[in-house]
Amino acid sequence: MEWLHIPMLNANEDEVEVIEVHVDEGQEVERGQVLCTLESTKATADVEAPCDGFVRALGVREGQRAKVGQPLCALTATADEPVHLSSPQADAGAQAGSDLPRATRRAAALASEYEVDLRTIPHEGILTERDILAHLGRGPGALRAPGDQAARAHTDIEVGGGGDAIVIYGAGGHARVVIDMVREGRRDLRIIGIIDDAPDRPDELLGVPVLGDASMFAGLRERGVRLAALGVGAVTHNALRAELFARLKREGFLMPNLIHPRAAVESSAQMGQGNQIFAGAVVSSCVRLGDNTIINSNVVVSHDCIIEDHAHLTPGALLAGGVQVGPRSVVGMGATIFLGVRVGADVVVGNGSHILQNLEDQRVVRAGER
Amino acid sequence: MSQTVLESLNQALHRMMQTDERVHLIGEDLLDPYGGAFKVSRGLSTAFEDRVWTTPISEAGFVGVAIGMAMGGLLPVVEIMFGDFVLLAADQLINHGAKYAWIYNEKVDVPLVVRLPMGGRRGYGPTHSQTLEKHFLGAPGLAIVATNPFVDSGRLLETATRYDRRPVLFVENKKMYARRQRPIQGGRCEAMDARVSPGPYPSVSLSFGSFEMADVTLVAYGGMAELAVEAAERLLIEDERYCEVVMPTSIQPLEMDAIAQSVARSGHLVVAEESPGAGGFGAEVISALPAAAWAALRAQPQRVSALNLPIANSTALEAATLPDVDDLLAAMRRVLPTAASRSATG
Repeated sequence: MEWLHIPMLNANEDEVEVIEVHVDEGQEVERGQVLCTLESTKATADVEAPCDGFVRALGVREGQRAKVGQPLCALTATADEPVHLSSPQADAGAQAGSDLPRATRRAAALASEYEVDLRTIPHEGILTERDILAHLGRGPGALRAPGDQAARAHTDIEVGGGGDAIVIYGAGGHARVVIDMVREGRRDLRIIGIIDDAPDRPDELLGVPVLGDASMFAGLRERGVRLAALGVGAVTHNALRAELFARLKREGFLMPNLIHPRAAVESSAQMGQGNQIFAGAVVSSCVRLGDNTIINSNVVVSHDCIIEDHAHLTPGALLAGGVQVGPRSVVGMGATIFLGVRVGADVVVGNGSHILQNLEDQRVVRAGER
Repeated sequence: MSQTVLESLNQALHRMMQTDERVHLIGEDLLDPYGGAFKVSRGLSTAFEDRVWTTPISEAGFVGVAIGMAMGGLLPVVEIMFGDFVLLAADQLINHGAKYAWIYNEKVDVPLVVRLPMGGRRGYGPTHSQTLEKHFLGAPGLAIVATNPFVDSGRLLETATRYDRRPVLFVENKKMYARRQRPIQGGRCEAMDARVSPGPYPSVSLSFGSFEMADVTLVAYGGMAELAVEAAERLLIEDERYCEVVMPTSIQPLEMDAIAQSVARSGHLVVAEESPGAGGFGAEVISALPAAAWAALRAQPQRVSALNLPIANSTALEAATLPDVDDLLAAMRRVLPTAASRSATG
């Protein structure tokens, strides 16, 4: 058996035109018989059979352009001798014989994860992740990341060995923000699902399945899930957030800091774990955050502030330099806190208030009060 | 099966010489059976014996003659065998042909076309592989038109020859001759959405997604056009990001509308050219961006160009010198923010 390849007709061209094919698949030919006629921009040439034999695996057709070096056909001694594919021939065959639509890498990965046959998806051009998601019966608004698991018995949850699986505790509005933050800011992580203790918990959130209640934590940990995020905002009940955070720690989870890519966090800022810094927030130089704080949208935390564990700075709060906020305290929307003021533990600073002096523990400042 | 760029140009010359007796061809080795170095002029001397002028090797001489013919009412088309040799006629073009309309107070014009096979990637070495049209940027009165496989090259040549009263440098790319033209029909080109701007020398915009989704604008002309489309496809396949490729054919004066509109949508710009970048096309595009497009930019525009070196005969060295698909892809990834993907995975 002998493979024939497209010859180079001109040192400056890596492609030729196949003008005529004079033989058919399986045809018996003699040595010297013309198999096909090729043309470059400067010349035409006949390709002759180098020996007697049968034309097999004929890989060119009239009118096509062929690459120099591409297999043209094989010549075998007998009509039914098996033809061993050379690798370029196998590739060409795979391309020609496959009617699979083209897809992006992510779309292909998603399709294989959900066992979607790409040929069943109506498409124009190159299939993207969105095409696959739409096909999975979800509108383009409800996006599910590849790696987020479909809702199923938790023994079926594919944790994977990459250590990149993260579970979210809580299925409320805050959880949706956390999902977006992970997807936007921590593309190295895979959200495998949500745990929620409410009996009326939803089935899914932004395409992330709700797996069940907290009794599932142990099983998830055993299967190698190391990371968790708290998806509970809890308005002013930061004691609850502290409780849930402690629960996650007891279960053995690590809580990564989630920082939205459009937050501005100086490199000199220091933080513990499980902090969530939302879009538009500014965390300035030498700020120290404890664990599990929420720095909400468009909050300004000026230089040298200290924000202790579980505190929640709600949207638009403005802290001047050197302010301290004690554990579990809430600073309301649009509140301002003057330079160097110390806010104690479990304090609630109402929306729109302006704080000029220190606040003792458990103090509640009503909205608009000073 | 569409025709090749070479066939399109050759047939346009046949068509023009058939319908318009003012059209003449001038250049080296044009006579059949040779028909010019790249065969664009094949068959013309046989069909129109008295209007195909094969000349001695003197670009200054025959371009000068062609300028005189144009002033005298003919429509000469000059073939420069390799675009590199247009430098020998630079004085005729810049100091004479391009200025006569002003010197003679618009009593004459110079409807001349000079065809320039430019570009490398064929192992022709340092003096036969360059892309030199940038040296004519900023020469008043001289138009530069560059074709690509996404427009009808023959029609473009016909526009430049029969309807443009200015001297036009018509830039072709040697690698492109054997390529098939990729026609645009009903707003589509193969798997891409396509837009064609109005005017005699259209800009073509292509995108693998809808134009509204463009993450980055990639401007490429001539020989870089197909590489740009390949890079756009890879950006989608590998990163799920949408690139809008804008391919102008009017290089001087620079046609900015399609580019500006695309940048206003995408906020990111990469400009590609096959010549070294200094003082070139990319710099012109970036400096010509209108205020609205400039304001939309979210990152510094990037240029992709050849290294500032002569082109070697060695295939490997030539490939390392000239910009390729990987370079275009890398530049797009440099301007695009990593975290701002609009794909489903956030």
